[in-house]
Amino acid sequence: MWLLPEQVARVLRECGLGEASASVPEAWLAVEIEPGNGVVRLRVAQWQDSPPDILRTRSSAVTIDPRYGLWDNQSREVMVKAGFRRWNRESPQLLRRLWEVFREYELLLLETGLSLGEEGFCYARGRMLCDDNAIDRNERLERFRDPVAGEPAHAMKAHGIDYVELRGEIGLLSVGAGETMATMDLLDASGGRAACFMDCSGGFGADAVTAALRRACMLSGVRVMLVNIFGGVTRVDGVAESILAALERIPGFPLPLVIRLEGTGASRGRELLAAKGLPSHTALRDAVEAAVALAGQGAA
Amino acid sequence: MSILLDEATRVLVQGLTGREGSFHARIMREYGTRIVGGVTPGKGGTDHDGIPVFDTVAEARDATGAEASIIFVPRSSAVDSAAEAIRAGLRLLVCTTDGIPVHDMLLLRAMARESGCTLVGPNCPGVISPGKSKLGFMPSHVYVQGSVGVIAKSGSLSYEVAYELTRAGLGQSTVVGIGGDPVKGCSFVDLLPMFADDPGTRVIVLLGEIGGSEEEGAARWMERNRLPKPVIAYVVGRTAPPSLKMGHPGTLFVWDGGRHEGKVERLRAAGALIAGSPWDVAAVARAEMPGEVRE
Repeated sequence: MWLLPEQVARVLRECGLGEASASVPEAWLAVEIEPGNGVVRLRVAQWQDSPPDILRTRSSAVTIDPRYGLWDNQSREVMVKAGFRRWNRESPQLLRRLWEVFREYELLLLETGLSLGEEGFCYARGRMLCDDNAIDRNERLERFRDPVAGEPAHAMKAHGIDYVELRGEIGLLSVGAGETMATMDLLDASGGRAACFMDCSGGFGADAVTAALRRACMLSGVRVMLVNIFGGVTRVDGVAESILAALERIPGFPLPLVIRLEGTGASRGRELLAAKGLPSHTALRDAVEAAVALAGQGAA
Repeated sequence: MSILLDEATRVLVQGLTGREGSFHARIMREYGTRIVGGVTPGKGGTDHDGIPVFDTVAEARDATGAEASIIFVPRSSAVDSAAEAIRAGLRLLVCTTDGIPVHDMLLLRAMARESGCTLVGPNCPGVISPGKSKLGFMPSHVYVQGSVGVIAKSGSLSYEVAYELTRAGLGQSTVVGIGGDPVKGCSFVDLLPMFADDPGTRVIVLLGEIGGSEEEGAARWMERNRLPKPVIAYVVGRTAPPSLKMGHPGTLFVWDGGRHEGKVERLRAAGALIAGSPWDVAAVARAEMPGEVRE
């Protein structure tokens, strides 16, 4: 089970990682269990704005013996190998704390972007995958249990969203069944696949968008989030406000976001997004290609 | 011949006096498994269906010369029971229990490797050397003794394939269900060398599935070690999307390979013969072993 973004934020705060950072992080780091052979690794890479799957292949790594845990000398070694010499002094304590959290929460994967701010380390795009087998016996996980996980379609319907879980990499939120399906088809024709079908026909309010974005974060294969709105009766400036409100409620939203806005109030909507540093597309084709390209980078 | 287990292997049943333990012990004994003792804390010194019961694994090992064990205890104490068997120096341990937390498995796996114990599972049907012995709960009647060695992530698929092999007139040397959990005691790369060295195994069958990177690991091993015998690989999940979480949690991990085509191509490039169905496995095995078939 993937932890929700705010749960990730709470856990990372326990590690002494202040707040989510909006800037592009300098480092990517991950603690993960390699499936099959049970090897636990700490990986560190320079961020360079690539998706985690790419960073993973470029990362420097040390193997952690689960019986002894992470040694400070291992942390220093991997930070130096990854080119973070100036972090050498501060990082062992932080990395040891991340390792402890990995153990305490029985995670299978902990990954986060990291940068050194004035107040110390801050993070961005954190993700945590916990062990479903451990939920029942681990109090820390118990409080994170997702009450809607059993019936996502049912829970999404309560927000006015028709939801079908698919098997692709691109989280998809749109309005109108026809538009949503058309977007899926276009993604497929461009070589991508939707991770979910989310038709927000019940009203594109902040609550609904928040629920949709949260849901998308929990899909195991998702790498990109595409929001495609051609507003008619739906006012697109309202759409933009809802997106911004949702992102505020989900600090450190972990997915690259591709937004396409067109229709009633679209230029005002795009302005609202741009003011907060969020780019958006006008043409559906551009947005589809952008989403597929981002997803494809991760799959390469 | 066979690997890991034969008619001479002395085995313990941990949790012998429980419902599951006594049920499966009876079936295993009927099959020919040499069960020399049971372990149930607090019931040491008693006798269960004619099998002596001990309080601890160490005691049972000393009294019986046991070298292997199978665990039938409730999930809550399965990890501790496994650790006890490893500490007692047993060389083979089958853990069929499902739902074992991954972080517990990290420690058990490290313990088992350090002490030279082959830990099979968790969440698996166990090991059978047909006609000789079985340590697990697989349906014995679909197996016959022969010279095909099988390693399977999926338990049911191992039954399917054994059934087809048997139908095609091909027996099995040993069939090992390694389970589908993301961290398991042993995997393809641990068992391939054993089958390679076993003179009674002429063909090795790998049954994989999407997720994880164990099939890729097997391919790497095959490339580095020239196998004197053919390997047939059958990987399931071709039409399942790579990100879909199937019954086995191992499939959650897709970032390091894990996809169907990748696994198949790696295995093919490493020299494995690729099969597309259980009956295809049998057909390929048959073609590889002229003269072996008993009608």
